[in-house]
Amino acid sequence: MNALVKTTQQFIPVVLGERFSFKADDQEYSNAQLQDIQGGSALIRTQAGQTEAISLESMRLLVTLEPNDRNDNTSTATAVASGGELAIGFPLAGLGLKAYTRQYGGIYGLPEPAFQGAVPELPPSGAPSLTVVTIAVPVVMEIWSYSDGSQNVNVYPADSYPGFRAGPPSRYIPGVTRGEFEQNDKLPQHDAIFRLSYS
Amino acid sequence: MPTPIITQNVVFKGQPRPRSGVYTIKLSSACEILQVPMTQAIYQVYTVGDKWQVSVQPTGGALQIIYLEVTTQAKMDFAINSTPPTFNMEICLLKSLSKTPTYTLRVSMTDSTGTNIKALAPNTLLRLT
Repeated sequence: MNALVKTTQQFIPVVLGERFSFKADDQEYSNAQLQDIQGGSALIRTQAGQTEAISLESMRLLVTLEPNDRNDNTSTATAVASGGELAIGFPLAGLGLKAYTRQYGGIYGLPEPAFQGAVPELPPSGAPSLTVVTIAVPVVMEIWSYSDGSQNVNVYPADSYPGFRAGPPSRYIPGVTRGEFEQNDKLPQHDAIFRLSYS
Repeated sequence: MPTPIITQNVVFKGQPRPRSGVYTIKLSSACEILQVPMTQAIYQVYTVGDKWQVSVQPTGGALQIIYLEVTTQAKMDFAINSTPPTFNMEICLLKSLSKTPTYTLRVSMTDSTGTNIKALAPNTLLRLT
């Protein structure tokens, strides 16, 4: 088992046509579809079919992970958290990511993190074409890699991170600026996925 | 249907807009002038009978239309030839709104049916004082 930890701002690629949930301008948008990007604004079709333009800077993802009814430690990302802006959830479909929460006492007895997710799938080929959404900051993410190839991502609000008590992380991942992220958008999808999911 | 054109951010005349965050509007006894930046692209998709619509939606509340205008070629000509190119709307219903909540302001230009959006401004978070 291997672990990484970092604090950073996240930048999430959203591809045209993709549906995602976010908060902007005091409004919550569930399952909105990205239609276009023009001059720093996203053209959005809401779930109700309305077309709106929203400043990219005002958009914050609002997705949390909740256990499903099956007792297999898995869940799907749910749209629009009822409280708080911190989430690792984002449009998981099509991004090669799966998320789940586990009902347990936390790794090595640590408190349950605010959000968890797992990344057992290899990313699809092809690079995302647009970067439009930022996750609210700051967060602390623990990224655990297991021998079966799966990974577990624990996301904490930075001000309540309990500390990495299970041993020092093998390495720290530096945060990236939005500009750096967008430059790296040209990287192969695997790198891009890594950034969108953890960085 | 063509992709709607997104304008630059709207501004209330005489009221500086912050770079980000809530746009606070100090209401006066007169109506407020809402200025929508015009572009050649908007001017070119405009046809006579198109409508401008302005709405506000309080956080968690219902959307309310506060302005409708079936604009004219002359007014569009004036807007595109002004410096900077700006379409002005005289909004008088802001004064009737409660000052307690914040509002999401939406501005759009549709065709004459009101259903097909040709242009729209980025949403603006408003606070009235």
